[in-house]
Amino acid sequence: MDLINGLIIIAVFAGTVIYSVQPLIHPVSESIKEQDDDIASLKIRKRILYRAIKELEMDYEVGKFSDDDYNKSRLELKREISEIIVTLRNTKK
Amino acid sequence: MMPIAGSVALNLAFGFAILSFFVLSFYLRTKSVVYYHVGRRLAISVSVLSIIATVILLNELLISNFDIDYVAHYTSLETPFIYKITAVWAGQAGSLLFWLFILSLYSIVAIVQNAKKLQQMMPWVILVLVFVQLFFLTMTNFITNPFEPTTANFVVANGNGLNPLLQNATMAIHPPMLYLGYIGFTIPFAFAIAALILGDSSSLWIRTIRRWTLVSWLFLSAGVILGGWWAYEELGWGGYWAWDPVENASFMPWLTSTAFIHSIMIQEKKNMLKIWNMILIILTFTLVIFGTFMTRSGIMSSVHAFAESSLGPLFLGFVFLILVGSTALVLYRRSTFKADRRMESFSSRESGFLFNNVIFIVICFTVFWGTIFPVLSEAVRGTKITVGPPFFNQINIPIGLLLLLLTGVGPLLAWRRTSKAGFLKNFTIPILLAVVGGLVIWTFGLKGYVLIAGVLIIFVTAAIIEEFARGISARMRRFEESILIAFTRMVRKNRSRYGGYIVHMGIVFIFVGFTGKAFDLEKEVGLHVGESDHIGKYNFELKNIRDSERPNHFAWISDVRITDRDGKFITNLHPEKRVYFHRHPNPDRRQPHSELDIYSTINQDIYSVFTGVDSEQGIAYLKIMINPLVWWVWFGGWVLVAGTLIALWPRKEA
Repeated sequence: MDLINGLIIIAVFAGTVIYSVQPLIHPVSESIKEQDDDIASLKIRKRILYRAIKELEMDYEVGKFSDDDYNKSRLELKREISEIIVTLRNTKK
Repeated sequence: MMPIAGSVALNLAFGFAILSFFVLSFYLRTKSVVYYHVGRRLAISVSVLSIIATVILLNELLISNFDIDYVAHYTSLETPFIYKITAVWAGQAGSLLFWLFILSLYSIVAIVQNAKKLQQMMPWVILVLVFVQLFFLTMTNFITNPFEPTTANFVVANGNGLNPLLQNATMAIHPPMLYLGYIGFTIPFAFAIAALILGDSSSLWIRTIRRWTLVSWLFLSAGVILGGWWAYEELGWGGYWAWDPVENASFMPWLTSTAFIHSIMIQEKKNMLKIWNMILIILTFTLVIFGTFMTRSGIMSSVHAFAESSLGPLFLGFVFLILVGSTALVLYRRSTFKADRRMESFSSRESGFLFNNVIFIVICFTVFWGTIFPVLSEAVRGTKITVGPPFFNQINIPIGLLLLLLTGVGPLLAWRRTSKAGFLKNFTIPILLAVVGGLVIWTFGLKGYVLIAGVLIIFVTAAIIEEFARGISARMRRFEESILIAFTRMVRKNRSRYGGYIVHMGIVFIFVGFTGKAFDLEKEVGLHVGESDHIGKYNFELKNIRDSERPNHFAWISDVRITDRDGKFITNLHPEKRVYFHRHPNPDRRQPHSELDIYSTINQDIYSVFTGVDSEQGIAYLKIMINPLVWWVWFGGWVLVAGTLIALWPRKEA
């Protein structure tokens, strides 16, 4: 029993070593694309802003905003979304 | 064989952690991607090996391998199966390994989850995670190894067994919850440090850490509440919070993380408070490590105990390193993380959140000061000056009530600015109801904090209900939905907002429970069988004293019949006086313990403790307490958990 346990443990430990050094034996070709993070970040920002507009509309409907504040905030959010869309479009090109 | 394997797993993990740290550092210098993959895999291996070590310790506890000192210390042959599992975190060495175990689980999730995302940031995130793991691996390898063999020069036939106070079902859940909460904050901390190093304040990682923080906060909240529950059900003093250092250690990061959960919303929506959020997340993690240091270094019992072990100084050094390193980074990046815009109005939700942040920090500072003052006084003047609950209550009750007020005010405020019309529209009903409610409470003769708390509870409840009602009615008007569908869709489409409101409602319920504390009654008596006494509007009669020998203890059980003043039967209570390790030949090793019995209702708890027994005379010494509204504390806790789960529930991304 002890021998089997011992063999299992050695196999597990050896497995972690092999797993860790594998990229040195079989180098991974994929590179790290820093630009991907920026695009993903912009997409998330866009999603947050769309949600912010929905929340704004809801707050307006329940009477938390004056007409002026509502229009101003909505316009600002839309402007930021437009900028993001343009940036994303340019990145794709 | 297995203990050696456990030690080897820890040794290997330590070696891999060092390797991973250097390989990742090398990648960051050379940008040669192969080193990133090796470093990342090494980090995963560190976690896997740490998990293996924990599983081995658990196995040794379950099979009662008393050759291991830790197993002999915290279990015995009589220890029930479930408490053999809980013994993993019962002692210092095991609890530090358990820290490492949870951190390893979290690290694997964070590394795998972000394998294809946040590619710039992940090498730094992994580096920070490995650094924290390295610290705990140093502890478990060199300072307090849980696989240390016994020092006894004879065959250990049986162990000491687990402390009876820890043999409680709540204690089986409370520490893991607390640990899951505590340690979870390492992930946001790692991201925050990575972001500071890279000067990245983008939405991508903020979103990731917001979820991590919420999950950790959920566990920590559940852990804190369960801790209170355990204290109430097990310690027998009739309360659930005593401001002791261990409780405070979990409460402080809860305060700063709650502040963070609020202020991160401002960063997400308004690109403001970026540096402040960094400070909050760093502070939370520092308090987590500091809390572990406080509870594990022995410093709270005596500064001398701290000096005798190398564990305390190492922990303190680690806290110092985190603080200095993080502060330097924050200062270095302060211009990069400057807010994009300014607060526009005092009557905005932003300023409400900011104000709530200030209150959380003030409470945190008070708790911190009250907790470390005895240690400081002992270190400086040689005499320990104890800071008791009166200090904490005197300062925190008024501040806490202010926080309760903000719990209601915040949701009523609009982002950017609340218009005068909006202010009147949203605040009128809650204020009117609070005033009327206050007058009613006052006519019952209640004054002071109870009156203020009552008024605020009504105000906040009204404010939250109003928020739901207005939202539902807006949907009903706009989409012509029924009330039920409008409610369901509204919550589903705005999970974080309405989940947050439900959490606020949970806080209100908890405050209802706190208010009941002002009306506690207590009586201690010695009764012969057949005798009775009374407390408040209840009579209690000792019907019988029985005894029973169980596998790991001997118990005297008192049967107490509770009736009201008119003789109407209410309940029977059966508190027990137990002696654990009752067969131990050395009487000093036998441990007495009072297992209490509680009759809990929404209005009040009847709390009974069997404090002592005179079997020759047939006398039972009982403590009976009437604790009003305690049920609401636990109910509030469940509501808080439910609200957080709603807020966390993933939404379908478009």
